[in-house]
Amino acid sequence: MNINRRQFIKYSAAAFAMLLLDKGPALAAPDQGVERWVKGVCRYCGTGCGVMVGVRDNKVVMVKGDPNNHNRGMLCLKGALLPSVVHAPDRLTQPLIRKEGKLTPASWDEALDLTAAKFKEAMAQFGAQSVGFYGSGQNLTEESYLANKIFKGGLKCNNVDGNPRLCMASAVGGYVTTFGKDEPFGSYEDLDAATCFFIIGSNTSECHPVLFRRIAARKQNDKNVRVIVVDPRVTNTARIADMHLAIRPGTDLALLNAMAHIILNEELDEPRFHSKYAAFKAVEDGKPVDKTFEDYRAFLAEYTPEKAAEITGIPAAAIVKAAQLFASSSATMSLWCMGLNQRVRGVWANNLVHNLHLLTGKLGRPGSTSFSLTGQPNACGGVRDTGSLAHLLPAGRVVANKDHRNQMEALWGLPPDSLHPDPGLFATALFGALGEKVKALLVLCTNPAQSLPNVKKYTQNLRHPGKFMAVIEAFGDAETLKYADVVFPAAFWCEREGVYGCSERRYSLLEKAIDPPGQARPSVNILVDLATRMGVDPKFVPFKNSAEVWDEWRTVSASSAYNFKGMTRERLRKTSGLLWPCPTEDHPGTKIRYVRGEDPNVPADHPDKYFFYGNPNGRATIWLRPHKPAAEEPDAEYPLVMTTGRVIDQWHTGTMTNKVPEIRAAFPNAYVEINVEDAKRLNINNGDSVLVETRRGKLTLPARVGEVCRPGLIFTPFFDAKKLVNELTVDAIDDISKQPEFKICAARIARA
Amino acid sequence: MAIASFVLQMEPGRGAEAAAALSRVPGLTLEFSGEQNLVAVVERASAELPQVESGLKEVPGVLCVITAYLNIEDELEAAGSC
Repeated sequence: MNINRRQFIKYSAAAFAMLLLDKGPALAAPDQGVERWVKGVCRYCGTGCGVMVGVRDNKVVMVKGDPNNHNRGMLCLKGALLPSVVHAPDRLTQPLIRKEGKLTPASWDEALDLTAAKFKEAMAQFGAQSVGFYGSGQNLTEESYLANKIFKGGLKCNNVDGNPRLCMASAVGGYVTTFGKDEPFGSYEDLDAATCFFIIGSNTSECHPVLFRRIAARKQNDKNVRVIVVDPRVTNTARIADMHLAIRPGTDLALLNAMAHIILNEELDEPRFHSKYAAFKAVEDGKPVDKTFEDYRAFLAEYTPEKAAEITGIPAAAIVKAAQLFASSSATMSLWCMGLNQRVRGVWANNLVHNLHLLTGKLGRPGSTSFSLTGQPNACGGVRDTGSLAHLLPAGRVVANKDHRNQMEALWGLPPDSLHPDPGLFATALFGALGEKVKALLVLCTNPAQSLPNVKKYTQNLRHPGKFMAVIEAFGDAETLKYADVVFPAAFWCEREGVYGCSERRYSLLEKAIDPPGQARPSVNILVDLATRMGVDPKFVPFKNSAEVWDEWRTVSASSAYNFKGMTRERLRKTSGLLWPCPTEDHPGTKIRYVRGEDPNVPADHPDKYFFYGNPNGRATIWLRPHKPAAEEPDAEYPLVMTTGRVIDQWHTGTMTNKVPEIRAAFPNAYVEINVEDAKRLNINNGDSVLVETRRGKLTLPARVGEVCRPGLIFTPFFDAKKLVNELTVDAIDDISKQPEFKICAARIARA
Repeated sequence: MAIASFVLQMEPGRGAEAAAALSRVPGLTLEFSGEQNLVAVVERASAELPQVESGLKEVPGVLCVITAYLNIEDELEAAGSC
């Protein structure tokens, strides 16, 4: 099918409408001869839409929305076009071993034995910390839990990290430091009750289109609903806003503190809430110290609307109006994504959004919540909840805490004090050490050679002669395979069964619909085979399938605040997802946390309505966090700010979406978006080839000139493997979350 | 130009009459005609969409109009990628 982007969007529009009528996607022929429908979850973003997979002759022929899941039958067009991805011609069907520079077909035994030997050799020579695992939010929960258990529990190596470090580690840090526990307070149902949406650092329209449609519908159905969008670009999300605050990149801390300042000055706060349920803290000399409400007020004094206007470029009156709307609505819901997370002060920015909710008491009631959106389908359930990051252990535990380690040792049947006590290497540190301190790495279902920041620096290490890297992957064209020594062909998406956990703490079962092609196998089985060949006791990984892993993980969760013991496999099969906590098989799941009568972790006889059980004092924390600039600000040499992101048509590094002929035809290439003023000054016209340069590299991209970017800003999407935009981005990291600042670096452009 | 899709719920038996009226709306394509529902995709300037939506409600036989999708990419045309 040969379509352009505009036609693609028209098909999307028609598909949405047809799905409302339960007619299936517009692009699908009316009768695809579906023999059976199998319940699943979409493979793309963190929205986690429920899908129905239509199967005929062991092929996926159609995908439509699950009317019983949270998305109510809606899907974006990417999800509806998943059949082309499943049956892409470059699916990997047999193991490969690099011989004389070329990946060459091999048997499973050869590939497994070679990988196990390399890992054992590294550990014998350099110790357990010389190996590592790099996963992603695209794996099933069972796969992430198992890999984490194998490496941290079996090999005693905490070098377990993954793509969520690049994506949402700051959101984790924000939730943990404010509320004491990770993951959102509320659920998607808050979208239907909010009367004010505060969307900051999220292009929801393109990155989470089904949720955006829900916001747009809410606004359309209630004329009192207000939408505030904070974004340096006039995105499609911004275009439905009542207020668009076109902020100077990297200045949101000043904006958020100014909004708090206004809320207090105009007495729009809710003292009955924050005096009872919040505590105030700051970091001094590297340590958290208690503060008072008056300290907080004094701290905010300098963040006047006028000062914030100077820093942010947003008119003072608009900042005042935004604060008033936020505080005076009957129910405010904040939503954010990479714009806040991918920053050197990402955790702080998350804290300051939570501050606004705690100050105004806009939490724990329908429509009142602070909600982090996520980029991958199972980053929440798979990676965050299973603790598959270098500093974490399962269900909210942390490596550095001895009690937590001892709890996991008991749950995993290990001797006391046997887990390694130090956090492992986080994403950029792991790849930075590859070939030197880290000799052998296993990558599961992610594409770091395209997605890491400042990626040239890390691909040098991927070429290091002292490194060994095995990759479990479904597709033959992933950039990372260029550097792999062994490749294991993996079952993809609905070719195996498992659980996905989306942004709202909902766990849904992806059922097996078809067999994988050729010799491709489920990753759970690959991981078990590898572990036992590496010397892990088979009794430690006695799993024949993902259902057995799920049962163990469910049991492990029972001793934590995540408790989803009640989510048996059979129950997940019958339902379209459940939200944890869900401690018993008759528990309906939890839509609102920390509230008595809603959250099973709050005792029914607790004297207070709210109880922040993750913090020792039972209160949430309002943090005093000052404004700090980005790591790399524009200067005379590089006078522009470059930011990166997604577009609606493509997803992440494009390894899936570029398999879809309609998408490839509509939107095949990256581009650089430039404001008309900058373009005029630099004599750049629409469609011109433009050289984009940063301190780390340069790329030539076609120009899209318009008024989407504010003056001084350029934007490039990162899906295009032919143009590795991450060769230009900066790898400065947040001190707390270790998440890189993809969103801001200094750049210059010129006609090529 | 913006692109929006609408579901029009119809009085039974009046689909053909409505479809004929809708064929005269500039920028509108009828994507589906059922007994009780029509699906229309409209391509117009975003500022004109509220007026279009009001107009759809006035089409004979239309009981209700639901906006299914909205994409406001005015810049697309300017960017020359259409």
